[in-house]
Amino acid sequence: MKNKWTKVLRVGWFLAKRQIKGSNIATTVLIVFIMMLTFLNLVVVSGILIGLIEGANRANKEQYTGDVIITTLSGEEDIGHSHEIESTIRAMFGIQDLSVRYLESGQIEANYKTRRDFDILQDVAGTQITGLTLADEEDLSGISKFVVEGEFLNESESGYILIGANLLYRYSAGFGDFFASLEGVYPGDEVKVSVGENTKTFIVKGILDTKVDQVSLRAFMTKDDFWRLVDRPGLNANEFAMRISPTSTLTGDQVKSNLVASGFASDGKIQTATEAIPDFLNQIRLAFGLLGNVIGAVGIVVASITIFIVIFINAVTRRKYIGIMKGIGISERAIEISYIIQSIFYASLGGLLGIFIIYVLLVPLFNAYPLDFPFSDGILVAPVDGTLFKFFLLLFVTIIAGYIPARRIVKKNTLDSILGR
Amino acid sequence: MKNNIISIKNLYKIYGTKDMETPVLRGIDLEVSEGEFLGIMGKSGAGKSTLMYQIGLLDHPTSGEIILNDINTEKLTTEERTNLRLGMLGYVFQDYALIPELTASENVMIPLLMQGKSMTEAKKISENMLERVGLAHRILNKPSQLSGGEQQRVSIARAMAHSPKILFADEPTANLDTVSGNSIIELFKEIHSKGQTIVMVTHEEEYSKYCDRIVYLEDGKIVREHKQKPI
Repeated sequence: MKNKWTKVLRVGWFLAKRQIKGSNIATTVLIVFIMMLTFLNLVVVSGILIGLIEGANRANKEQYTGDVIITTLSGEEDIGHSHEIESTIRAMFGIQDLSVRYLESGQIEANYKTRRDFDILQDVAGTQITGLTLADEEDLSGISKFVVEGEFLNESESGYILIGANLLYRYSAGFGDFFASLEGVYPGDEVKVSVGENTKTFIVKGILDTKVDQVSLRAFMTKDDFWRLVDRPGLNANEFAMRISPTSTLTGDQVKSNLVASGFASDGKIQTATEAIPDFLNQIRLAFGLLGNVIGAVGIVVASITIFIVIFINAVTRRKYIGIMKGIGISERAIEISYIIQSIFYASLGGLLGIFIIYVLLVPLFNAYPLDFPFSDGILVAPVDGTLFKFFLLLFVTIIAGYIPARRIVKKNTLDSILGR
Repeated sequence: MKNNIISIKNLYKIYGTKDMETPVLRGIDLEVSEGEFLGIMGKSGAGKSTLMYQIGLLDHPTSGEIILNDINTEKLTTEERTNLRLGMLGYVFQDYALIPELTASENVMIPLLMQGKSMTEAKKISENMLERVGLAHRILNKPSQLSGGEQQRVSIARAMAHSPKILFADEPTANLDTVSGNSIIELFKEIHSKGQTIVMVTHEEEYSKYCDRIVYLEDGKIVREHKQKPI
């Protein structure tokens, strides 16, 4: 039995190789091109759709959460034992950056100097006033690079504030009335910042614009200015965002476990970057993934029909020779296998070209120039295991699509095929 | 007394439907001895080629019995018929029937590979066969680069490469000019002289002279036959 299949495969391979070599180059290139486009459609469409969300998640991690974040527990005003937590994190091997943030709900009022008519509503926007140790935040998130107008804060200066772009009308007009936003605020303007009963004036040092809401909907000042403005008992923090060293083998889950084991879970909400992703983003990711798969499935059907037609036309036009081969004793299986090998050739060459384009061209290109979407910078997500699965799926489908027409022609009466009846 | 290598009893081949039947072979009885060169002759439509296709297992008869080398072919499966064709029968068709994308050598090699010969072995045999038919210088040429006579020689080389017990030839000279036709028939003569059984369909009286025996078909029946001393 083994010997029989060896012979069949050998002859099938022999015939397929000669047929491919003897086929029209332009036709072969066209078929391979179609298979490549199909494969790209299969991987890239869903990859971009998921990449929109992945881009948002990545930005969230880079600019806000780090690898692990501790936030204030629901119902609490701050994170208890903040000093101990900070000491523990800073002593933890493998943690590269830590930013401790202090938050308080407040509001910013602009244009109060030019407000002559007190019947007109104040130009006010509610926000979270965030106090930072600038160098720590810069190390963690590179916050200064998101300054789109004016300059970043300076630790040696006081009375300056950075305002998130989404708090300004000219940046957030696209969101409609979703946010109460300030009009005509530019660097150098004076604004009133109120937290509780306390109000102080600040000079706008710069405007921060990113697609991470936790950054672009907040107002930032130095930790010292924060404490001058805010009147609350204790010096506890509201957020600890930390990043693991890229050279460390430590994972976000391990850091979280260590912090939980240290007993800090009762002081703050400890989450890895993945856990901190808002649930709606995960839902969108699932929906986009499904949509991408549906589009990919259509692509697979198109690819299989393409291969079916190519092999069918090839087999029909060569029906006489198929008959002759059967006549001189070549087994039907060997002839069918020659067509299956041709299908595999087209699909694998198209797929391999697709893989090359994805990993050598598209992924680096999307990373360098992400798609500009309102809520994220879309990248191309193409995990190797998923791409390989789709490659083998394409191969499997094309094998079936190549086999069916070949079988239909091969099983026809030998003499009818030879005589073209 | 030589053994019968082909034995046909009451062979019928009817085309068409029940409502409109077209009988092409009507009760053929025929025996061919091992090493015999049999010619099948008759007018166009007499059933010569149809008879050859039935004996050569390229088609299924409507009824009757075909025994090849003591094997009753009636109940053979498709795969068994294919294996029998591969192992025991060789074919030379009127239009040469070569595979266009294969070289002369590769055309000869395919049945050998299917028999399980190694690539080197098959190549060696094919080159020897092509040399025997006078095409040593054409082994790498594709059919489109060969003349009709040369293509038919490749076809003969392919048919003989696996040493078949019976060689079938369906009007092998019909598409050739006189010179090429003569050289092909000389080739058959040479092959037959080495003991090869040949069944050849022809309508050319001149070439039938090379046969040991000729059967004449008319309306699907053998109407006469005669033995002769071949040229």
